[in-house]
Amino acid sequence: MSIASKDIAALRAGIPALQRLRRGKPPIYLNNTCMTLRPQVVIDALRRYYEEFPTCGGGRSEGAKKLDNWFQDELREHEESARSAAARLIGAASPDEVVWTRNTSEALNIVAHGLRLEPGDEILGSEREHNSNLVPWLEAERRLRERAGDPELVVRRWFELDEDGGFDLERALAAITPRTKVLALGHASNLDGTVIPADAIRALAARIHEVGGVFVLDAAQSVPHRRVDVRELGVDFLAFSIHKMCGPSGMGVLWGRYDLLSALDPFVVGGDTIADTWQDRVEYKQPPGRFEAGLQDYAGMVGAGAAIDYITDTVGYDLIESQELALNRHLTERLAPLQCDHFWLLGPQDPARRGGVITMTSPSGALINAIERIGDEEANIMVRRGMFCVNAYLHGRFDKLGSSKNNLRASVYFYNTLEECDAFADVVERVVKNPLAYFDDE
Amino acid sequence: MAVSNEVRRYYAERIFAQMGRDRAPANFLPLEEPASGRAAVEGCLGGGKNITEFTLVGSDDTVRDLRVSCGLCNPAMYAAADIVVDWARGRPMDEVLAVDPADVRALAPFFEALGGPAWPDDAREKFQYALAGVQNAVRDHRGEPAAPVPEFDGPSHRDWSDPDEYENDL
Repeated sequence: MSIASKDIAALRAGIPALQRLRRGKPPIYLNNTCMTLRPQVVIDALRRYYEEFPTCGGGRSEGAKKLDNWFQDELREHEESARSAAARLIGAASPDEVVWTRNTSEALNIVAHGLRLEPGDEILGSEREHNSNLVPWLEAERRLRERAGDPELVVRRWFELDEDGGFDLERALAAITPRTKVLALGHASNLDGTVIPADAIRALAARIHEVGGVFVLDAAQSVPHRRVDVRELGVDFLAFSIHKMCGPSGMGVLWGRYDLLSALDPFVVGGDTIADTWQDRVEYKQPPGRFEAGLQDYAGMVGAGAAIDYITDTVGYDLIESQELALNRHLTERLAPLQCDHFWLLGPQDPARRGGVITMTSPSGALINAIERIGDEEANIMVRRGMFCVNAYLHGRFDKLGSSKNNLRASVYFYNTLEECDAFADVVERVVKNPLAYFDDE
Repeated sequence: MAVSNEVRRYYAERIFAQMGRDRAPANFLPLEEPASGRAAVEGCLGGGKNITEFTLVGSDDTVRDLRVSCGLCNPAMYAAADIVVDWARGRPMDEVLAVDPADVRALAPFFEALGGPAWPDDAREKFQYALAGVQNAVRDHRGEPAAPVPEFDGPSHRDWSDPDEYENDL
């Protein structure tokens, strides 16, 4: 057993869900792009909140280090520690630049609603944005059309990717115009794992700043898998989800450069966002408090801190990246030779360009259904099928062939093993080599 | 449940064999002109998600063209959608709406198109969902609200070509 596999075994032992059995077999969890499993340390952190200091935090109040009572003081200590951990994770200048959200979607909505755009301003994305980084901007477009009284006003534009889904920097740079006020891109694709290289992000940041725009990076699929430093990249806003990196469900982060956060209009308002109110006016807190309305998921914050510490200190990005590459290389070696007229891989063929994601597609939904069903029934394999919230991209590329909706994604994380990948590849191989034999539903 | 022989044969020959990286069965290709009506239906029983979306072009109150896209469909849904689309294309809209999806006897043309000899129940359920979807696409074309899609009985091993089955059921 190698050092790495010893490490993986120890890490797996600390994840309770992996110890479960169904029909005498453990789970094979290959849906990590959606949500990851949680280690005991994160579960313990959540429980600790409820057992030891289950109170309200009283909101983020500038400068107040001491609150009213015992429980609140302990909660504040844990919450501040978690916010600081999140700030360190992404190289933020200050914890005050970190806003807790429910997820990446909410974080991106805060930005899309808070920026003061004017008719004539444009928003630029790629053809393959996740719905969370598409729909908020389409809503911004709708609002600007209403303001302009022009239902045809084009606000959101998009540029094409390479034939294999790879990022084309020159095409992206050429799409930025003096009217581009927002560049909103997904850092890593949840569909095929492709990543925008750091050099390209820096070049795009320089260009968008030249024309007076801001760069919003959807990092939901990058922060859990690789080191991301917001200041090194030069972006202005960044969003990611804690539940994709071993943290509690419904926790996310919006990071923004402090001066830009301060200029955002608040999105959801009410209790805890305000410095003071009168019958006819409101004075909002400074960031991040103004964006964290109402009582919060305090257990989630404490759990988020534990998850970040776990990823950075216990697991480490080096292990995450090397394990994902090894697993995806192995899966690709098994699955790529199966490609045929009824089954093929999406995205680049080179696994080194796909992170921990491998997505298969077929014109036949029945074939995709069969792989998922047999994998679930025979080996407790959990994968994901469908359009993965990149409907617009899949419609644009594959509707003309009638194959946009029948996709299956396996996504690995550091705790997956070669044996698990083989179990999945065995099922895929059986079905793809003899698809008409696996129609039955039970 | 096991897929019926009739569905298996239809799907293998008329659907799967026509699919590929650069081709699809004709009814599963996009319309060549903008849709004037659309509707989606989820025939979720019997394996697969079976999310089917029907897009329609109407003129003179006739279904001039009609296509379907299938998301994670099982073979019975593919076969049923293909057959119902063929049946509805070119037909007056009133005639399309006149068929009650819950009336199994009214589904006879669809069973005939499936090719027999049996009229298998796994196809019956999907014919019902497909017909309900096409009818809602017609309603959408007319600017009418969609009718609620009933939850039809799940597929069994019944053979509706046997008249006794009707007597027992109706």
